[in-house]
Amino acid sequence: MSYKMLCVDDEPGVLQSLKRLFRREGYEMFFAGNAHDALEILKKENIHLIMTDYRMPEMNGVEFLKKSIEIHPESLRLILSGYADAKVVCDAIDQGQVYRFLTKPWNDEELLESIRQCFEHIKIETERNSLLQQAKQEIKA
Amino acid sequence: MEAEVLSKNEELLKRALYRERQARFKAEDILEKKTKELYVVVEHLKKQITDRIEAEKVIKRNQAQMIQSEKMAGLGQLAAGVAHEINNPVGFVTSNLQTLKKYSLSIKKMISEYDSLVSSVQSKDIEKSVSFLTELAKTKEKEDIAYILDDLDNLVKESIDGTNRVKEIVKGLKSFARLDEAEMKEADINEGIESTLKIVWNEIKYKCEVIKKLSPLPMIVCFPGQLNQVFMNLIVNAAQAIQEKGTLTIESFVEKEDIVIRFTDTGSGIKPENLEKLFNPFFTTKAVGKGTGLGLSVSYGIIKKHKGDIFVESQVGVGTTFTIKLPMKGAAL
Ligand SMILES: Nc1ncnc2c1ncn2[C@@H]1O[C@H](COP(=O)(O)OP(=O)(O)OP(=O)(O)O)[C@@H](O)[C@H]1O
Ligand SMILES: [Mg+2]
Repeated sequence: MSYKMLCVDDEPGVLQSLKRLFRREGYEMFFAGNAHDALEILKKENIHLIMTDYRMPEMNGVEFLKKSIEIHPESLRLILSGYADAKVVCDAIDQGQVYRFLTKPWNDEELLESIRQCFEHIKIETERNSLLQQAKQEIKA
Repeated sequence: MEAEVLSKNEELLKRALYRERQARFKAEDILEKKTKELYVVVEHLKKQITDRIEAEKVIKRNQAQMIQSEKMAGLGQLAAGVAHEINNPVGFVTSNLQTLKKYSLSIKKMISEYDSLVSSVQSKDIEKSVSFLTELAKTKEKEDIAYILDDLDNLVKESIDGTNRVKEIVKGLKSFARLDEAEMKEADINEGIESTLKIVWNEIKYKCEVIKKLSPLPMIVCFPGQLNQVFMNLIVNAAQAIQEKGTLTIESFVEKEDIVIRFTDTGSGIKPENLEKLFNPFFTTKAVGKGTGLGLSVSYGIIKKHKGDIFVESQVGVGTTFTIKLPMKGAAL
């Protein structure tokens, strides 16, 4: 099974460069230019990792993540933003329950590494859950 | 008898001398005392003067700080927008260049294999040629050359767009601040409005549609950078008064002896009881940390300095209009 990642940014140039960056990482990539399209994708796909911009028209990144939690509470959430004041970061953590807050301009290698770590985290989490599940069943049996 | 007279005279003389000496001592004493007093007074005066100079320095510094902090207040709000606007293109252009570096490695690899193939063909080494050819096909596949060739033009085009955008923003910032122009000079007010709009665009683009009705204006002598600051304050205020979506109409025209600039928004409007306090320093209805309340008071000062006028009409729930009148003649200080 390959991991699914969704990138949301109202800037086409950013999405294009991310597409290039993640092309050979082996993840299944999804891209959306606004929060609305992103939510549509979330309804259809079992997305493991969401990375979104903060400043976007209509719905900002934190508002979007809040809605995404209703659809996929278990996905890991990241923000990749060109501007981070304290309030934005706090909101992101409190309301968007973000796992990491990354800043633009990003460094390719660092970004790739962060994402790899995220998927590592997801992998461990999934394994732990299934072990837990298994253990529970064994106890029942 | 004679001796007696003599000694008596001597006695008198002595006494006189003594008196005179006493008087002199006394005078010296008084002089010294007076000098001391004078010294104290002079010292006191000196201290007063230095205190006064210090106080004036502090006042000047505070004034400078007030002006500076207002600049910061206005620009602080913009920093978010400008940072975002610059960090986006810088982000993707940098990333694209990194990708380009990888593409170039792949292409170089293919070319070096192609060179080997050519030389083996030239030396008619069929076996080697075949093996290089297979290698080349493999590499082409592995390096995803088809994708690279397909993407290359887009990558370059997008990156050039990105750097052009950064260039535009920096140009806009410069013409907005016009930092080199602390002096009065002839300027076109419409140009000032345009360059200010460019700068605040990020702050307002998601919320308000801007309708410009700018008539051609004569050049006027003014502090262009300061007037831009006024425009910025009014535009940002208008955008902040708009909750979800609205319009901001900016008009400019000549009326009699004045240039008139009008900013009309469809924002929240201003309560009648607040209208008179609007231009007071530190009057703000915005949350702590959001507004300093200096925007309008400083704008008022700048317009007065240009011998102009600024006034406001507003209706709660409908919107607000700020009107500026600048005399075409006599704007000079
Ligand atoms: N266009 C407008 N519509 C509604 N209210 C306005 C408008 N412009 C100004 N105001 C009111 O006037 C107050 C004072 O404005 P001013 O620009 O002086 O300070 P501020 O906007 O609160 O702070 P700052 O300019 O430092 O961010 C505002 O807090 C707001 O209540
Ligand atoms: Mg203001």
